[in-house]
Amino acid sequence: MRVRFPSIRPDRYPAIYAATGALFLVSYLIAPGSLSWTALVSMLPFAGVLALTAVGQTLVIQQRGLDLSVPGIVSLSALIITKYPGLDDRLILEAMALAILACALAGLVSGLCVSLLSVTPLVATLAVNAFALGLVQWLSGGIPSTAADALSLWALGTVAGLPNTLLVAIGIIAVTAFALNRTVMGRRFEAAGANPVAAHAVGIRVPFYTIASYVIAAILYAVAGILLAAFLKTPGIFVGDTLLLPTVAAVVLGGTALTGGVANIVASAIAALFLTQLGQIVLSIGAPTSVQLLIQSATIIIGMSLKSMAEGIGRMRGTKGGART
Amino acid sequence: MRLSGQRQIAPINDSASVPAALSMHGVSKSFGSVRALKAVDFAAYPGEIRALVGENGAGKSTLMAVASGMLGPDEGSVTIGGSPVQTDNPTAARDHGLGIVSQHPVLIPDLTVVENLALSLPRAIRPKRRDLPAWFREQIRYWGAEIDPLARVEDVPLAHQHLIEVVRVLALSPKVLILDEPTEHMNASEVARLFRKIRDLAAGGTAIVYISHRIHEVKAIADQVTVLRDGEIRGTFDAASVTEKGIVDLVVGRTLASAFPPKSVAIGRDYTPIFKTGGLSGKAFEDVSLSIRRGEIIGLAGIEGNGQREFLRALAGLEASRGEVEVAGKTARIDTPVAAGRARIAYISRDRQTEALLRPLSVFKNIGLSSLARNSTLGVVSSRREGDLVAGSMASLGIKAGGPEVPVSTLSGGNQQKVVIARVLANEPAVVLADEPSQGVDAGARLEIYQILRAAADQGRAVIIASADAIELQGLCDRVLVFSRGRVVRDLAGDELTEHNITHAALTATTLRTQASTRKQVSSLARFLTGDFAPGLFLAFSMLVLAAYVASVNPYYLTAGNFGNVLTLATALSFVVLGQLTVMLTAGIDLSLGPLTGFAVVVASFFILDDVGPAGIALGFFLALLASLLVGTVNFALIRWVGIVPVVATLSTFMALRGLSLFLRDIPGGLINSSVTAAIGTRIGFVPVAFVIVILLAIGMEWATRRTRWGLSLRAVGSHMANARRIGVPVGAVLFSAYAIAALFAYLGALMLMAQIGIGDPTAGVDYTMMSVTAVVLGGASLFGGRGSYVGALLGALLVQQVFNVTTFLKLPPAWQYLLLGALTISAVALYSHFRRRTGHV
Repeated sequence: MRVRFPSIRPDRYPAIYAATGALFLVSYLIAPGSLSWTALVSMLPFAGVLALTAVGQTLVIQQRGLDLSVPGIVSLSALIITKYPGLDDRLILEAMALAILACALAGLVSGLCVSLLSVTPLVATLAVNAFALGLVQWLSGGIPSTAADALSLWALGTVAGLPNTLLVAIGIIAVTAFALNRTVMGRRFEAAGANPVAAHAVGIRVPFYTIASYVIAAILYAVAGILLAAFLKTPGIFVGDTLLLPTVAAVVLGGTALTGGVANIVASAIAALFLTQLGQIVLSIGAPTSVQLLIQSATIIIGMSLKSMAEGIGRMRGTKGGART
Repeated sequence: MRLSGQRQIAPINDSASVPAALSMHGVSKSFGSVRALKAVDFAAYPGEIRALVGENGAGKSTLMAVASGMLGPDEGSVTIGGSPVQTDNPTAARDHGLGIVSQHPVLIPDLTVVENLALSLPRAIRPKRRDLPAWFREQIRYWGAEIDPLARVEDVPLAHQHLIEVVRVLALSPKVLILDEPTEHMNASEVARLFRKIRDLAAGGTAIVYISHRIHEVKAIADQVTVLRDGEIRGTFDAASVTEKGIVDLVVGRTLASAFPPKSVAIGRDYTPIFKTGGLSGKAFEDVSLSIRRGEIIGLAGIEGNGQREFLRALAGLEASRGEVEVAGKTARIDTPVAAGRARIAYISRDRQTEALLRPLSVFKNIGLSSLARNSTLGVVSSRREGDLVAGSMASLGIKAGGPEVPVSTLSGGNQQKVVIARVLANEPAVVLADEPSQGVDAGARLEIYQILRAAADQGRAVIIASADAIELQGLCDRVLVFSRGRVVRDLAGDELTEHNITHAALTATTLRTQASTRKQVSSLARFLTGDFAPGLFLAFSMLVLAAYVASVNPYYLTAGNFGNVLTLATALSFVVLGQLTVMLTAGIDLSLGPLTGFAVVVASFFILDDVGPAGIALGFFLALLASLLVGTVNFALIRWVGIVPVVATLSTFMALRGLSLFLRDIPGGLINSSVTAAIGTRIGFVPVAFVIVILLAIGMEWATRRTRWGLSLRAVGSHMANARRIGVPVGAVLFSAYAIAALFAYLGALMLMAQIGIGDPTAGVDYTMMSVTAVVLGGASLFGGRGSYVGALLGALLVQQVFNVTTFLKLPPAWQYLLLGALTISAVALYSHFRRRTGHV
């Protein structure tokens, strides 16, 4: 018997891909304008940013955590990348390194609290979020800064017609997915999330992977913050605030169980695209922010309902549960 | 198989003189593809002690779970005391007179012993709350154990939890008493007391069903023995006329000779051992030295709790040990599983579901896990090499699965165990440790597993097996070490290696076993520190220190005006916090409470205006209340009926509420009637009346969660939902009450907010979500449910508000509010969980 290697091909998680396809079809029917090249090119970078944060959230949730520090960390990164260079193009790379380092440090704090101090993820990341937001407020003095010219010019640039920012997001997500599915560390990471007790017995250093999930997630948020700053040029000081709920929504729609275990990185990224395009349609038909929020909320509820219905059917077919004495 | 010299007796119901106390007809139950019960008929009669025996997985516990309503059958009916009982309803079974002492005590871990009794005993037989501790002490005295009635069940040793369970069930004076492996954790004197009790009850006309895998106990206590195998009744026998061996043969359903692979002939006479331990000692075992040669299978035997399992786990690096270990002539470290793995020692856990399988992942990923490094180049796993390995081991071990990609959780017990063994063997270990390798595996797969283990040994490995089944050890092992009180007391090999000798050595050596002496009494200080009220004191102390410091820096801090303002702001938050805690006690969370306050204000801002009469104002109050309760109901429905986890469910209502508020008012508008805001803001001196109300409510809720049936149910649902359901708590109704009450408190918070901002602002109140979670957590509540204090949470709310307030007096930038709160929360939670962990495993 020839065994196929576990693939990262999309057909393993069909629901969100089908839904995204259907959404673009609907877009074509009711708001063809949202599919014009200019509309897509302005939508895709935002989808990329949301996808990066959603992938980070996926990693943390896969390790049985939850990361509420997305707003704080994204805002911190966006502030550092704009404030540190002070419009000086030569300092951009330095600022990037600093932003990523600072955010990784914030992630490390969450990770250490969760794995060594046994603080619940919700509380640890809530506190780190408060911390990061406080830092942003303090450093900025409440005034947004503007990105250096070279950075915003780069964000406007394209390769083969695709925006640079989108390409960076895609590249990073692809590397993350590859690392998780094809490397020794990635597979151990997955095992540590799927069953920490069993992973420990097999000789996997579970705390290392738990901490790693928060650090890697924070780095992904940092990149998202940099891209967002580059794209918006003068991001609001709390630019990350609106990202938290959509990341959780993307993880849910992507099919990653909130109880940990299986991480569908690519599916989370596609779900981010789905949510962003959904927002575009709602905007293009002239609905206000309020309706956007209602639709986001309904998306989660419908997504979760379908999932639990599917699981219910699965149970009835008797695919779950084992022998009992 | 033929049984000579045994008479299969007809069930007594043929005599038809006494009606059955419990009868079950045509009961079938399947778990996935496994048919646990196949149209089983079973009856128990008044005054009769009926033993139910069978292997693991034979269906004993499933049958009794159906009888007691804990599990709904696929088909079949249950009759108790002559009247048909609704299945899948534990309360109905109990009310008809059925009591069951389960294998796992049906107790609520976060409740005290007394609270457990108060919640689970029916009103008719329940002593008054204040008499309960004395009543319990009286009952437990019979068992010769000392259990503090005010201790949390979680802190009570497992053996004593079983006694509490027995006391609880006996208090029901059941007409049918089911005991499921009751002696598992009992010492000899407790077993004797139990048997005396059982005989007394039977003499008094109770029907007893006694489940056990200890055949000698069954012989000692039972009148009749019913054998269950593979979900079917294989006969009922007169206990006096059947031999132990006869029962065992029936239970196993096969002759011993064919059930095991031939023993090794390959073990040479002169050899170098592949595995050696010298004077290995740990917490539960002492000075164990053994030496194993290639190809040998060693068994570890002993009565449960004599150190054999801990020894095996220590070899795997899962328990601390000291002493020498050698693998293939080289000294090995075994202080962690990583080190043991490096020494080529591999472990197969007894607890397959929690300690071996990665349930949600595929068969492929489960098998490949331990040999990832072997199959990779520069850290990248080679798909070809891994694929070949998995295909090879699936074929050679005969793993039956829908393919390598199916989740391992869909496989049968035997195939799951083969997956675990395949994983272990894939990394080519020198030593294989297997704890109960055939547990929960059906008879056919069992032989295959024995053959796999024997083949693994024949390839030159050392295999060590711990098993409670002496027959298995006799059939499979080349040598068996019998443990007693942590030491090896017998080393059986060759002709001496018989089931009889193993059992004999284990039993005779443990006759001196004493009362559980390792039990540490939790000191009253430790209990306080881990209790619900310590965080409150910690908070009060922090607040005083903070206030003293700020007062020393800024003279304007300690003024009535400032305190009045802080209290007014804190009151709104406090209401929300009381709601948040109510939900958190059920192990839920309500993120929508913040925007809900804002939403309620927006709704009210359309009615409670300056130019409206009293009726309009009343309508405004009413509609805002209605809206709040509606939101609470929606949260409940999403969580309970749609099955969304609370965080996500309330996150979506969080978003929806923000949307709705913006929809109703895209910009702030609707000035609130000024006399209404004035009335809400009434103060006595500098103290707002509303603050007094919130204090009273907190105290009232504190009392209610400890003393009322509703409160105990609330905490029970949060602490252990499954057990709460089993003892008859209406889980759905309790959850509904929690989310409705949370919404009600949010409404009260909204009234305060309305008085403060005086206008319908669509973005107001959102911050209360995070602030309330922070305050509740500061107050010491557990996010895992069951634990928390309203007074503590109230103090948490005050501290949060105080921190916001002092930063201005200390002339700190506003950012410090967040920094301080963040640091405070982390340190508080780390501190609380540190204390709970330290005393949690006494």
